[in-house]
Amino acid sequence: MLDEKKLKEMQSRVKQYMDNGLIKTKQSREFVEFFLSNADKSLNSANALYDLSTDKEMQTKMGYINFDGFLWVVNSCYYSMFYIVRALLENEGIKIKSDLSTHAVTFDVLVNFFYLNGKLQKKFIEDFADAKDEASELLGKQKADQLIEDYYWEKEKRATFTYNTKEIVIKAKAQTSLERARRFNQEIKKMIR
Amino acid sequence: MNTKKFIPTKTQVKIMQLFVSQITRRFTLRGVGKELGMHQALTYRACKELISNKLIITDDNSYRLNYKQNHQELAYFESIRSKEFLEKNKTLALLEEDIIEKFPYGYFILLLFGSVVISTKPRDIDILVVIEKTEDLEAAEKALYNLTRNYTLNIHSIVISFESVFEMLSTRDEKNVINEVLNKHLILYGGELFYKLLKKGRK
Repeated sequence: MLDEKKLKEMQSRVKQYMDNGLIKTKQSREFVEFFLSNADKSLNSANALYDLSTDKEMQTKMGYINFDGFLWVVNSCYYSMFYIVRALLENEGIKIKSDLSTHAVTFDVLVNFFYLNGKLQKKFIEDFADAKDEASELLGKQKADQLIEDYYWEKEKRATFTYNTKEIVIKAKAQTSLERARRFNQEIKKMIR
Repeated sequence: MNTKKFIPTKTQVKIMQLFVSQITRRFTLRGVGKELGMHQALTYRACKELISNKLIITDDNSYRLNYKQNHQELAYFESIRSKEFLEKNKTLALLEEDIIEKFPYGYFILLLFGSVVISTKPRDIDILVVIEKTEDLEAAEKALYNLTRNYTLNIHSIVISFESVFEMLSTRDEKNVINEVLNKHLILYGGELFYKLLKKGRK
């Protein structure tokens, strides 16, 4: 995934961001706690959604029968990782000014300032990239699947089968996402503290 | 303790760390020196002042911790022990910080016990939290679970109330979590409260 060519591209992009003033280094560290808190809140939201999606008794008690929040578990997990990376960058005095595609810029900056100099192991960079890809893929795919299901509404049985299969896959992805985010956030927090 | 402020030396802090680590164990002064790899004369001199300040007391030709007095000082020695431990265990330091900051009960004790205290590669991490009210136990257990689940450690947590602590302390020879904790623990939060409960519960 992180081959030489891609790394070189990232480095050149980061240089460009710096030249354009989109990234600034040696800045004040004022938002570390803010991003850390957002990371915790996002991970806790993912935990809560996962619990509610898997606990039938809780669903009945709260009036959310057959609740399925797995998709947003994946998304919240990614966001918790995104926020903790922002906390790490902030802690190092690195600010991202860009409003456009902050997520892509954040990834490039993380690789440039923490992977290329050996501060962060490759597996954590890959975890972050996987989380980012899965969150965007799942959210996009959900829409596409819905459109297909609507179009072939007469093939009800097949649609139901597809839906059920997908639900199991998304549940497994949600579980993986939680484990990945916990591992990732723990590691990054150690670098910050 | 004497009215004059007692400031322990480095040697005395080391000795006290040994005594607080094994609250009910009796030590001879020679044994203390041996255990800490200290010169006997130095050990005797250091202990003399600890005895006169009632931090340790005689018990059958040997000495043990006086857990009934000087709780603030005992909590200080405990805090040095846990600080030294957490410096080598960054993940547990993060967890400790998280629990102290986010556990929704203000009046509680947080400690580690079992193999994590003595081993560098423990099978699991045993955490004990003591809260005031028995009726809050269920909610406190859930709150603790929600804090510990975000860590990749193999954590086993127990939450008990003051009432259970007293009950367990009253049965000295019985094998229970509190009796186990007395000689194998690291108090991460609430040291003074811990000794207060011990004084009240252990007759």
